[in-house]
Amino acid sequence: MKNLSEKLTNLKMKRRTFLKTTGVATVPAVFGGMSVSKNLIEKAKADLQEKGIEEIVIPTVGTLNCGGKCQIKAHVVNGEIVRLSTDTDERDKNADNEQFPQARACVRGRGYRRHVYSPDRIKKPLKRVGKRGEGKWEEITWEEACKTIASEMKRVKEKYGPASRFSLYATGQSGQIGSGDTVVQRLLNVDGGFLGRYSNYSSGQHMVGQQFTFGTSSAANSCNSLLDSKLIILNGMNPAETIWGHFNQYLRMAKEKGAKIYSIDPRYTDTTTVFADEWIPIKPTTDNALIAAMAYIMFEENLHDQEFLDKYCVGHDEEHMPEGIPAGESYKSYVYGVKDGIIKTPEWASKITGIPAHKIAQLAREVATTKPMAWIQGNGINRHMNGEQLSRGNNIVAAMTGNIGISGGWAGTGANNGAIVKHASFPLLKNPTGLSIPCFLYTDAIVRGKEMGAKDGVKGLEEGQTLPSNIKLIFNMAGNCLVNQHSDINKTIEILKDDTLCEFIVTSDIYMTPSALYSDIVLPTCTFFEQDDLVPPWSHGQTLYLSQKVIEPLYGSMTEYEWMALVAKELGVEQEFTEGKTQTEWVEWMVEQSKEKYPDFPSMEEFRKTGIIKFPNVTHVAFKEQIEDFENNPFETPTGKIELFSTKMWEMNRPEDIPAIPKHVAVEEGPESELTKKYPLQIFGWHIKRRCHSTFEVSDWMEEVATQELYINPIDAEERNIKDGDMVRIFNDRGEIRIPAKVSSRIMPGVVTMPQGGWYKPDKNGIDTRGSMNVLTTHKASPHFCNPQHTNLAQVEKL
Amino acid sequence: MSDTTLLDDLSRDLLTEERTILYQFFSEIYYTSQTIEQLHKWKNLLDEEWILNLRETYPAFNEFFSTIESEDLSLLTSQWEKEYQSIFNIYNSEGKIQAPIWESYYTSYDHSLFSKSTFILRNKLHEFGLQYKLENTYPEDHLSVQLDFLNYLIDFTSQAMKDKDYLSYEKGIYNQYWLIKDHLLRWVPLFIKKIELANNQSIYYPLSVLLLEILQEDLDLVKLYKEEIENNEKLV
Repeated sequence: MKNLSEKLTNLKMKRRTFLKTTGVATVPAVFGGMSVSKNLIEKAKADLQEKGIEEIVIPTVGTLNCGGKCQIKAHVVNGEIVRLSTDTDERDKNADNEQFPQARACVRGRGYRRHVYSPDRIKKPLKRVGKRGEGKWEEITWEEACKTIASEMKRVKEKYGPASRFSLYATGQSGQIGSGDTVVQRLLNVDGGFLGRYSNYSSGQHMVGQQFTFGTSSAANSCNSLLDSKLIILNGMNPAETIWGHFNQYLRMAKEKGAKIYSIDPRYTDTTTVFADEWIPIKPTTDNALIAAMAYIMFEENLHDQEFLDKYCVGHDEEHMPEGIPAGESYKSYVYGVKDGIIKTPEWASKITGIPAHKIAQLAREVATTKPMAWIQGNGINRHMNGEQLSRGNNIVAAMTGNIGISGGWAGTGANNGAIVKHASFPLLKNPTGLSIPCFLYTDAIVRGKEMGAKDGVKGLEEGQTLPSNIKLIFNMAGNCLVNQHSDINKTIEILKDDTLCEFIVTSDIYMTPSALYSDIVLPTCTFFEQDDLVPPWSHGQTLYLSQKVIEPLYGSMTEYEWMALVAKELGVEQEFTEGKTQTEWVEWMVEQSKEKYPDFPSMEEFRKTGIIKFPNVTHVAFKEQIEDFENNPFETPTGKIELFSTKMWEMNRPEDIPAIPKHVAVEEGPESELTKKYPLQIFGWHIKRRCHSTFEVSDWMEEVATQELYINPIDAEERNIKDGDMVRIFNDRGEIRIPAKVSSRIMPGVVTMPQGGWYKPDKNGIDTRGSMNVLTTHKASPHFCNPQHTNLAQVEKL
Repeated sequence: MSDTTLLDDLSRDLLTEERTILYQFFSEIYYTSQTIEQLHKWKNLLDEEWILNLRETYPAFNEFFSTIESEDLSLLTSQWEKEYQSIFNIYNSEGKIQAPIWESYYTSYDHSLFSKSTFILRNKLHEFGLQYKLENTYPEDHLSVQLDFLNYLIDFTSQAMKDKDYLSYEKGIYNQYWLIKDHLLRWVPLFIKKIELANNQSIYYPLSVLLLEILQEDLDLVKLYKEEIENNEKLV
């Protein structure tokens, strides 16, 4: 056997002459010992006794702006999350508990580990050094970041006034103190105020529509009401992917009890696949034509609940109109074409909606004669240019069939979570400016804020006044609405690129989103695993959660509350902002306050063990009091009745786009538009199961669940010679996207769709290569200043 | 020890010194982008003949070493910073790291950090009475940390040899073998493929290829030491 020396000699070792100088004595001088290594230190002797691989399980909650708000149990070993599990409530072990269903995580919730431990997290505070959007950054310290933010807050406030500072609609981290969006409002309030905002990107039109009809924006029953339904119509409602609280569990239980479920949607959704007995495809924006024709059948065949209408409603017929309204303005007159000469027959509606006339008549009869019946709209149907009217169409069906105020029925949209889930909240304090704009008009307020007044939806101004300043400073806390989730991305980034318009933008996030890219300071924030919070449910949830700190903040990240406390100190308002409390102490305070008000509320110690409160009373029937005792409980509308004819809308005197009854309003980019000659396809972006809005975009796990494809019907594909998998260009006057086509009959002819929330990824020509839907959507708001991102026309061509 | 069958102590020491400096160099360059001061340090340590050899072996390396040999290192510093940030950080137009610099990304089934390899390395560090300065907030299986640990093991082994502590020597050699074979050589090739795909790769691609070759050479070396132990060639 060769000895070692010989073997070594035979090794071709390129490094043998690596050093200019040799001699072992030089090595320590160059490097020092390991004790001074930049990475490694001696472990304290006391720690050398290993604790062993002991797994602890900490219950917490997914706090993304997700309908699910599911329970997440973090299995932690040695300070790291090794796996996740979810609610295993024994009471629901057979998945049949009508009171305490498990709050189980879906594919997104199960993927949170990938979310928190992704290599792509932002790890340092960053300062923009190139042009906005160029992606050139310099790492800075937290101290420098906070000083810069405080200094800019002061400068902008002094130069333009407090109302030039804006907290952008941002929902990436929802909750109480763990949501940067709430915390920044408190910071701005203690520092002189800011330009507030109202409405949201999800259900703005619903909130407006239901308010006009019922005087409140919460018109839905609790989920367990579905257990009494015999027929459930899901109208643009897709909880199997979006997850609305416990909606899926109750739909399943309702189906097991024998309820029939129909899905009216342009797309054959996962909900349709799982639950529906029948899919009724409909062209987007045309649902009120369907409803008008159904009303025609009901009137003609005397299937409607005249007694209910007469007692509780105004506007359904000429005999029941508010005072002072001329003849021919009732809903029935509209249906019979008294003024426009068009009788709203199924044949008429069929041409508009794409639904066969006989199917419309059949649906009308079944809806009218099956009781209790729940006609349930999702948020997709409201995100249209005529969304307020579509939302009120829901109320027509419910009222005409007498399905309001009863279990198993469904008056309208908007869950009243407060009726079930009760707790104290983090105090935001009052905004001294008293001014607010519709959140969707933030780009308008950057460009022409000083021209905006009440006609643009600005609230808090004296009559005739306009905003005192354009927006000059934006806080974007865990939000992607700055760019990606706002409309018309190309136009938006043109506005944001110009830093003489909005002069300073701060983003706090865990990833470099397309919105973070257009910021001046980007701060690494914590996920819910890294902080405590009290977390109410989303729409139709019936549980309250404690978000618990499971691991130490990674990469030196700070929660928004923590760094804003440092900014507050710079501004001289630390005490007002923190009241001497840490974030965890605020959570404890909210729990104590909740317990004072609601004695059954658990103590913090108890809450930490379970991480979840399932409230025992999960039943809420909207307007039950009004229906059972109308004389003593009028509706909160001007007439005290259900306003199928809205007196307030009538006073707006905009009959074309804001009719007082929920007519079918043909929109600029709808199927009846002249623009279809140029752009013949309707396009919208649906909420896919792989993302929560735009969150989880970077997760390759979720990419395996689903990727970005344009769904196109085989008929439309054939006309364009498009085969499954072909790359296509989708374009309109606002921009262009290039992604693969999915040729599928899961989308109706004349309509194409892609999942919304894909991150904008332009090539050198500004063409999006990922499938970011908002490249094609418009800045123009709906009549009540809401987001109409589902109303678009486009063309598709094979590449 | 039997001097007749062993590499002489001086040769071993020289090898130790060279390995230490090489891994220190690589640990530093993957830890962060390099300052002018650091580059001057390396410039003063690098042997011209060795560089020449490398330049011939790796033409892609030519530009880098011709720059490092120049008097003005500011351009290289700036280029180094840009390349480091664009490949190993999120500061690029995609907002995503082009070549993650942690083992777990390549060896875990889900490409997540803080995965099995992180804990394996953590436990091994603890076994040697060490810990990562940023334990629990950054993952231990960063390339720079692994190279630092390899250096520690080289030092540990060398000291054991000087102390004629057979058990520690054996522990040092076996752990060097384990770290190079079961970890570094398992993921560094995948890491290099990622760098190769990155947009900006004039510095880090050739350097990483060089690191890989050195690791492969080193595995051969450590294997010999290991065989020596197993064959009882070395110690009596």
